[in-house]
Amino acid sequence: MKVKSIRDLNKLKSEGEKLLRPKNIRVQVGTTPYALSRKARDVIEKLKKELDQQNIDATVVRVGCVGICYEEPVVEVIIPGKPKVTYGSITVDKVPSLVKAISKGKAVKKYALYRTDQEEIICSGKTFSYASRVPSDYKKIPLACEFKFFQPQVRIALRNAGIINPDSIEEYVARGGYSALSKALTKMTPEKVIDVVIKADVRGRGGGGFPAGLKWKTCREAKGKEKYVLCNCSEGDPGIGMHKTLIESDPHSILEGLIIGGYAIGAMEGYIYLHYGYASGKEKLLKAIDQANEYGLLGKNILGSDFSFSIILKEGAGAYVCGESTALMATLEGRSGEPRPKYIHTAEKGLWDCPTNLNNVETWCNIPPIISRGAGWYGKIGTKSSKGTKVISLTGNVNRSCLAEVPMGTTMKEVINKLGGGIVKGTKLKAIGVGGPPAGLLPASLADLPIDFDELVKAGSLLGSGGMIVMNDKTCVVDMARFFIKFLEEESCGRCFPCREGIKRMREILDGLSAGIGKDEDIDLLQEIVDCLSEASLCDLGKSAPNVVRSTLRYFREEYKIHIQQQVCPSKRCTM
Amino acid sequence: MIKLTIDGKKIQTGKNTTILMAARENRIKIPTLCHHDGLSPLANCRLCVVEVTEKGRTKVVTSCNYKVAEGMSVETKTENIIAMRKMIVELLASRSPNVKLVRELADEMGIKDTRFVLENEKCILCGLCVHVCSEFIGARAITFSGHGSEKIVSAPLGSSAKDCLGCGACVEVCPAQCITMKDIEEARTYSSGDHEHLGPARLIHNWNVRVLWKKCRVCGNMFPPPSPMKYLKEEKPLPKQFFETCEKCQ
Amino acid sequence: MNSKRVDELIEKHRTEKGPLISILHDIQEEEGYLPEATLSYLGDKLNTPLGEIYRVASFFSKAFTFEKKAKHTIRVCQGTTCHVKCSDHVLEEIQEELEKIKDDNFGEHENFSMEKARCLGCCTSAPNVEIDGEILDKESAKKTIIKLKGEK
Ligand SMILES: Cc1cc2nc3c(=O)[nH]c(=O)nc-3n(C[C@H](O)[C@H](O)[C@H](O)COP(=O)(O)O)c2cc1C
Ligand code: SF4
Ligand code: SF4
Ligand code: FES
Repeated sequence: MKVKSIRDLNKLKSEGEKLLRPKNIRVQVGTTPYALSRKARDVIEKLKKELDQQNIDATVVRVGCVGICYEEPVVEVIIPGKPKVTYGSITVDKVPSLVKAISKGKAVKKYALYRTDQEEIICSGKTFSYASRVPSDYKKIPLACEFKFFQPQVRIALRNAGIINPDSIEEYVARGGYSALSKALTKMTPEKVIDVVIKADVRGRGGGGFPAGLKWKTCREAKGKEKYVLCNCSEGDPGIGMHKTLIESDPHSILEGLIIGGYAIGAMEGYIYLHYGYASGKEKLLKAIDQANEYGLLGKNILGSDFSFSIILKEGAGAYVCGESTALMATLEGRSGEPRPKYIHTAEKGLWDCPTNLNNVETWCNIPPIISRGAGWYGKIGTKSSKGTKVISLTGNVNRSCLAEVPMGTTMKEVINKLGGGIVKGTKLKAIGVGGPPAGLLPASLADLPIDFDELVKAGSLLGSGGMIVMNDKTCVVDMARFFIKFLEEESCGRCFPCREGIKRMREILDGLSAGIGKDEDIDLLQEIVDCLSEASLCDLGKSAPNVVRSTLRYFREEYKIHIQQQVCPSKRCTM
Repeated sequence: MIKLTIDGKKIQTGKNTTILMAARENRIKIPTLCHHDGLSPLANCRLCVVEVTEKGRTKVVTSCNYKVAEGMSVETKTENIIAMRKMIVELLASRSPNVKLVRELADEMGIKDTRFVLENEKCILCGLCVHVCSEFIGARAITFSGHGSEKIVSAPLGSSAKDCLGCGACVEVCPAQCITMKDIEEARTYSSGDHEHLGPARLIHNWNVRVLWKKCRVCGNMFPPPSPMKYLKEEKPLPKQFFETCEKCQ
Repeated sequence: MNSKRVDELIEKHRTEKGPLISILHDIQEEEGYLPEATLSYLGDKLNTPLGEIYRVASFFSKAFTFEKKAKHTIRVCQGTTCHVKCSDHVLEEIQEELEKIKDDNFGEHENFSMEKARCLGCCTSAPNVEIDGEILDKESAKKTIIKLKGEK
């Protein structure tokens, strides 16, 4: 079926609603890589078998990830007319009692995390109500909004994560999907779309925080017949699984954002750059692209308009530096991923020398709701200079690793305590790394800083990708600096002198410090290298590489000194 | 014409000129390592950094590839710029202490000792050899291999550069003078016990190549691959069949 | 890889702009490495000098290899979260385990190749080890190695 009008889209929507809220029971299981490693697959099999044996009319659906990683496998049960109940840490042997309760239309309180009576559909602003009356046995289960994990959250990019089946375009449409596209194509000029994005003041979620609207505008105004829009799913940061959740839970929201961007900028083709070796994400995205093509949401004359657009998925080949815009474009062109000087903006001469606009996955996911609900709605969320929300992947020495989305302005402390359940028992918070290798480390004393592009830059860090790694007092900052620098040494392109040689020398010095053979002069020498690299390097990898050394020298200089003067590692991490 | 100032000096120059060119036209010296007039800028060495102030904003750029603009003001010798250049040269002098050009630069900048562990790399990885071979000659016979601190220049797969024409442009542009080339009168193979005589040939050791001399398309004499440097210096493209004709008949 | 198969792969990516990396992925996947002869043939067909192909293939050293990979791949995650949870020690222990095999058996250690991974996307259970695509903790990884060692 081709969707050619709003009427057709509404038809698709009602089909999706039937899937999301069927007449029978819907059981949904999260299937992210982590859930799978905790045997989610076996749980699904067991659920199916038990439901079958008990003759219960139910559908088991694989969904993405709600973000409560520490409770995987997560199972949600929707019985028509009753609140949705979310269960955590469901193992195969818990399945029979769960199914038994389902068969009686009841909930199992001891496995339940929370219940949902109604939920907001972000794209339309309407609420959907699961149950008009809450049965008494359900009342004992806390509401989602009372559940600590959800309290600080506002889920815009993650609006569908864990709720819909990522393989179903119908379910996406049922949650207001593609309505922004239809609004843009039928009621808005490309300029108007850009205007809304500028007014909403969306800043790029890939690291730099550059205003997306301005970038779009420059690209729209650049001369050139062919233009491209690109989505950066590079995720080179070691130790965060964020893009993965977006891709695996809600691939259509990326596509919709990209199509709207293509329309606004005047591009005919969009590319998704996916980092290498990520089979499950590739499969989800390819499937979504196929579906969108099949329904005419991609291809010629989208939704009956004059606008035609296609999306191509291309895999990289595994190098961190390929997240950098010009290196990413070189890789898409099939060349080696070396950055090039950017004095001519990629908005004017990018992919195959055509005007090109690159945004991060999360940035694209934010676009549809902004178009649907307007800049005014978006502007109310977040802080003055950083609007909206940020997806945070929280790992490290916290009690609960998780993935969540909080309004800008939420403090790091709130994230650690409310979402992460605090620091691992018996240890103290020492440092926080916010945005991967280039962002550096912040000391515990700055945990009250808000998540906000400018505030973090002021403190000498970066919001970066939002991969927040929490470190306790067993972590040695010299060792962490050495770890990041070593990573960058191996991952840089090796093209320009300061970055290639400078990072290597910083690593040598840090190796020396952690082996207990550091010298007093080393600190000054490190500082000199830092100052040179941050301005003289060719690309942002080299320019930001010294941040981790700079920030640790700024906040933890004493610890460096102890390594040198007493030849001991206060955290006993370095082996001397 | 575009008006700008470099180190306080008022200057006029043509559109599309780089800061480096404009500075040189006015005898203002900016050190470079990876720049060659006949080739597009690489901007790898970063030695030519300068401070540019445009529309009230100051930033550090490489002068070899940054174009002049009306009203721009350029500083080539601020304390910050000198410190960066010194650090780059110190880093280089630790990597390649025996490269003449690097030693000269270090002396010029007053760097006596380097504070890093000494290595002895002959190649400074400026990229000019790969660049001239690909952009000017069009052979793309040699290449970079790897990435990060393990990058090197080499023949493909580290074996022999089979697309090499033996022109020696790489030898000529190498600022470190680390590519060695030699003409021999008699190349031989030793493979099947017997040797086979192949005639005169050119060897370029770094790329493991042996290029046999050719017969000139015009006069029929054997001749070594001709040097393309004249054309490179004059920034003219190579004539067609340049490598098929001996120098006399060109 | 025979030339017919290379032709097929080129055909498969015919409509793709800049297909080199995609074709290399396919060759690596089918052959387990990039044979020199295949690359030469590919270069001729795509009208791309071997130098350019080698530049790309060697730049992406994690995706492409020029030698055949071993039967079992052990990837020890060295991502940030895993590092915070002492994955460098895990790496050492796994290395020791492999050393033991090397001491005990003739050539069996050659069935294993060990790599450092950047992030296995499973930070919640850090530190992680992946053996032949399955994510494990340290102890199960060691057990798996011993099990695989016994298999022919
Ligand atoms: C070394 C380096 C690595 C990067 N890696 C990523 C990445 O993995 N994902 C990403 O979205 N952006 C990454 N970026 C930022 C991108 O270059 C680019 O700024 C961003 O994708 C633009 O999108 P945005 O404006 O929506 O943030 C990286 C930048 C550098 C310099
Ligand atoms: S800064 Fe580093 S990564 Fe960037 S171009 Fe230079 S060497 Fe390559
Ligand atoms: S061989 Fe010479 S020209 Fe080539 S990269 Fe090395 S120093 Fe530069
Ligand atoms: S001459 Fe400008 S970077 Fe080398």
